[in-house]
Amino acid sequence: MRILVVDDDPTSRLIAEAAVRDLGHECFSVSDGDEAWAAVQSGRPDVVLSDWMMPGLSGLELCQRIRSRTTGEYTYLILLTGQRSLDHALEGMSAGADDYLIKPLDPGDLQVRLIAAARVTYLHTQLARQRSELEALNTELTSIARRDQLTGLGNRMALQEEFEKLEARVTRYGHRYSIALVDIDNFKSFNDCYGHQAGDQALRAVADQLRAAARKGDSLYRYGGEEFLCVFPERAVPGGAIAVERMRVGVQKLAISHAANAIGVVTISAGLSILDPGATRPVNEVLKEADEALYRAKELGRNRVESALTSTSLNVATMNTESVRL
Amino acid sequence: VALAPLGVLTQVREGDVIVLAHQAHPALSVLDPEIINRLRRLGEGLNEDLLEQLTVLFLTDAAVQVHDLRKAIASADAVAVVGSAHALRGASANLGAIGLVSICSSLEADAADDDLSSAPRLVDALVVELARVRAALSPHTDAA
Repeated sequence: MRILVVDDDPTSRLIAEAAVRDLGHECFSVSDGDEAWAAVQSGRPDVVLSDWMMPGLSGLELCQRIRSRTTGEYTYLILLTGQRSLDHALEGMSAGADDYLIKPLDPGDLQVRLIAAARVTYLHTQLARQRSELEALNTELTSIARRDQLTGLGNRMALQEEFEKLEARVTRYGHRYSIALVDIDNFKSFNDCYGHQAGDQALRAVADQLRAAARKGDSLYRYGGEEFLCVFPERAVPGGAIAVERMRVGVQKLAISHAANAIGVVTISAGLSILDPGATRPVNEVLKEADEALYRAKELGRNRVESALTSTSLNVATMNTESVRL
Repeated sequence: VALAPLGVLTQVREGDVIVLAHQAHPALSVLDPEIINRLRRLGEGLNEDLLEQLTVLFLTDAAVQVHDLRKAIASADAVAVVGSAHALRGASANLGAIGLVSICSSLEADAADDDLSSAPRLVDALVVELARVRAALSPHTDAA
């Protein structure tokens, strides 16, 4: 173990150092409480063997400081006290010391106490490792529980949390955002015609395409079977519309055969809704507008992006006519 | 002349003459042989001159403490007397210097009660005892 000896008396320090090293432990030492506190933080000893009465920080204060740390590692603390100062031992143990020894130090006693110290230190190390493993596992589970397995995009649970955060930002800071609902055109026919495996592949390919067209900070979710949802924070006109249009073009360019579609390849339709800065509609209403816009895109012949009527956006339909035939 | 066991030094008053027990009985050891043996074994185990290093440290420190004690007594600073006596007692105990521990304890206890009346005599006794400790340590080290 790594042991820190704290004593202002040089003879006591020398004897303690010799006894610790004789027992095969690594030893470093300081001569007052303030130095000890610094050494505990920088040298990370397993055990501190400290005198009670010292200049600067006393043994008691050192004890209290070590125990009030929140860094997680455990430092085993043994107080050294005089034969006639057993009340100090009681005070010290109450303040969080693990053990005490009577001065002058008997190396045989120290050996016995260090066996207990090694056992307790080992248990604390085990506990800390298990805790960090649990935390890592928890983080992983949290992430798995919020990810769609097929596409790797966020799932409905992740979306629900994003909506809550979004709502809070809008209320607090008046932020704006836009939402796009994206749907693969005639996907039921695609599955009927090419099988569910091909369907899964198409879903993955479309998801990758959406990801490629999104910018850092945008969030993508698998909303339902063949439906996706994009959240564009701080993007309204024309940012959101441009991103969705890039997605539509990108998917068409993948050129995945789809006989039931007029142009023979997999395409998407999208409905876009925007919450302007300062507006306070609830996110569900914005979502509903996006859904209505998506419905219109389908009605108007699919493979197109429509904006919600309430949004003061540019006419996306105009962009469609310019870029739809590539 | 009173032959005083070490423990009764606190009761010494002006006019008493102190004769330490081992002055009267030189066979009584100045240093606790058990502690000296323990330190010697520890040093041998580490292959270091632990006793010699300790002796140098102790004698240097003791000289400073005696000087500080005299100064503190001269200026009637009981708190400083308690501090020096306590430090010297701890260091003496480390080497098993039984007589020194006893004298330091008396000094410390009296001064803690703000009584410095026997302090000058106790410091004189302390200096005498220190010389014995130095002599007793010499077989264990070249430094003493």
